[in-house]
Order: sequence, then C-alpha cells, then structure tokens
Amino acid sequence: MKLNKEFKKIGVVAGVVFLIVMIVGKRYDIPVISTGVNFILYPVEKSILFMGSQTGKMTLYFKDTQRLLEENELLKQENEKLVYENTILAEYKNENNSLKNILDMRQRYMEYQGVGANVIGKESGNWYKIFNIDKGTGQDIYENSVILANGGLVGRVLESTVITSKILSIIDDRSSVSAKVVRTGDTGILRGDIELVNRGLCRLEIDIESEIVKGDQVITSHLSSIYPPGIPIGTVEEIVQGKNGLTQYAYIRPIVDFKHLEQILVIKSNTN
Amino acid sequence: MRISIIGILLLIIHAMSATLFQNLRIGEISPNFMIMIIVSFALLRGSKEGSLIGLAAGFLNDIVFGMGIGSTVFVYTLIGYVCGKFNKNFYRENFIIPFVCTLFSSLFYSVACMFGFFLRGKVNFIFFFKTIIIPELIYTITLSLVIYQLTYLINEKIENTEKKTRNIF
Repeated sequence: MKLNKEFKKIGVVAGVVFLIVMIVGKRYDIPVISTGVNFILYPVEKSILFMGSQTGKMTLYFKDTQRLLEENELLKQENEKLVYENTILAEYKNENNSLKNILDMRQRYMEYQGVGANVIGKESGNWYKIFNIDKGTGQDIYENSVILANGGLVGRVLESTVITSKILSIIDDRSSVSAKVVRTGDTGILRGDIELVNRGLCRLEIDIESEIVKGDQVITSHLSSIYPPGIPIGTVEEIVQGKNGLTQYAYIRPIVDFKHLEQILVIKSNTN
Repeated sequence: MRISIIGILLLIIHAMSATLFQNLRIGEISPNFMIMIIVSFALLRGSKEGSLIGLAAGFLNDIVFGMGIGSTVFVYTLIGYVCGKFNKNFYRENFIIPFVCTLFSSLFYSVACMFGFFLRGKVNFIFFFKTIIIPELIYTITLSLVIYQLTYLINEKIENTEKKTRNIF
C-alpha cells in the first residue's frame, strides 16, 4: 500500500510535468516530445536504415537479375531472329550457287551439239503420249538422246530409225525422270501420270520431310544416266500428301507446252 | 488391187490420225479411226480379210507408236476376226450391226489398254471409264456411221472392178 501511495504521487507529478511540458511546448512551438522521441528513435532508425541499405543491395541484386533475365530474353529473341535471317541468307547463297551452277550447266550444255527437229506425228490414242520427229540415226540421233523445247525437258528418244525417231515424253505414264528441287536440294522421281496427263501435269514423288512449296523450280538431278543434270523441267503447281505418310506428291507443271509442241532440240548423247 | 487400195487407205488413215485428226480432239479425247475401218471391212469382207487388216493396222500402230510390238496387233486382229464372223448374217445396208460391232470393239480395245495400266498398278477403274473410255466410245461410234458409208462405197467400187477383171478373164 505504501508503494501504491508513492506510485500515485510519482504518477501525479509526472503527469503534471508532462502536461506543463506539453503546454509550454505547444505554446512556444518547441517540439519537445518529438525531439525526445527522435533521440530515442534516431539510433533505431539509423540502424534500420543501415540494415535497410545493406539489405537493399541484396534486393537490388534480385531486381537486377530480374532485369537481366528479361534483357537476356529479348537478346535471345533477337539472336533467334538474326539466326533465322542468317539461314535465309545462307539459303540465298545456296540458291545463288545452284543457279550459278545451272547457268554453268547450261553453258556446258550448249557445248553439246544440238540438232533442231520438227514433230511430225503424235500418238493417235488417248492413253499414251508418244510422238515422232523427223530426224533419226542419219543425223546422229540415237536411243536415249535427250529432247528439249523452249529450254525445258521434253523427254528422251525411245527408238530411232534412219529418218525418224520415236520420243517418250515426260508426261507419258511410262516415263520416269530423276528430278531435284532447286531450293531445297531434295531429289525425287518425276513420273507421268495418266490422271494428270490431260491437265498437262506430271507427278513428283518426294520425301515427306522435304519443305517443298508451290512455285519451286524443278530440274533434272545428277543421279540420272540418261538425262544430264540441271535441265529445267518445270515448277511446282500443287502439293499432295501421300497415303502412306512417307512420301508427298508434288504436281509439276512442265515448262514445255505438250499440246502445241512443234519444234524441238535434240541433244546428242556422248555415249554413242 | 484390193490389197494395195486397202493398204494405202490404212496408211492414209494412220498418217491422218497422227497429224491432222489431232485437231479433232474434244477434251483431249480422239476417236479411234482404225477400229472403224477394221470393223467396217471385216463386216463387209469376212473374218479372213478382217483379221489381215487388223494385223496390218496393229503392226502399223505398234511400230510407229508402241513401246513393244504385240499388244495392239493382237487386239486389232481379234476384232477383225470376230467382226468378220458376222459377215454372212447381215445385210450390208443395215446400220445397226456396224454400230454395235464398233461399240463393242472400241470397248474391248479400251479395256485391253486399261489392262496394261492395271499391270503397272494404276487401278483407278472409275477414272479410266469416266474420262477416257466412255467419251472415246461415244466419239468413235458416232463417227463410225459416216466411216461405214465410206468403206461401203470403196468396197463397192473395188468389187465392181474385180467383177470386170473377172469378166475379162
């Protein structure tokens, strides 16, 4: 009880002092309490700030990694784009080279002796596309000589007599040519097809993974023993998936117009 | 006399169908003039002459356009022989029998050609009939009415001259 009484006294005195200080502080605009509080708070705040600054670097580190990751992402994207562009350029380079090669081939090709000839008869039936020309062994045209017209492949000589030759055109159902797509470099077999012959098309059988698109150029490949490489055949008209999932078919429109074929060029084969 | 005229006729028809008659193609389909000639002569002259004409026409076609000799020869000879069998049983002025014979001969020839495609794995039966066989059949039998009249006239002339030469001897 004694303590209680003293405590009450101290409390009352402290309260009065506090009130006086408050009133005086209020009266003369002296931030008494806030200064006192500041004296207490300052070290705490200081240490907190210190701690904060120290940990702030840590958070900044995390923030930085985030930013760097984002930047990295962007750069990767840009890099991918550049790689893509680079591959396109490489493709262009390849194409350029192959086109140059074709030009070369054609120049080489001009060195073969060509003989002009006229078509004198076409197969009268509706099933096959064979025709006759007016030159034969008398003009050094032998079996498997290659026939061109308008710079495109027409076919080959099946049989030649002294004055005429029989020619199997590439759109005939029995003909097959080893062909190559210029842009992708894939080789395939070009066959005539009875179902496409009236549309003037023929069919190229090619691997399913070949990225062939409409408009691609098709030339004869280096694999054939009859046809020299690099003779233009035609362009891709349509692409059809094969039923077995392993091959795809491209319908090729030949450069040569087989309906109105009149003048042709015979390349004399070197083997004979 | 008869051999030379028919031989020249066959040559002319063959040459024409390889060159000039290419312009007669309707939808890329041309009629088969050889079958018309073979059927007409076989009906007018009997199976012996029919098969000989078929043989000659078949050889002509196979030598000029075929990859091997034999298929067309066989088909044309058979057509000539079978159509010649009807020689004794019909009136020459009748239109119906040449018409029907040409129809079946053309069908037989087309099916034989189609068989060649079957052997190479092209078995789109409906496509062949729809786009090649039926149009060719219609074209051929329509023209066969005209061609039969011509062959009838030619045959008449030849028989007249033969009678005259027989009278002389």
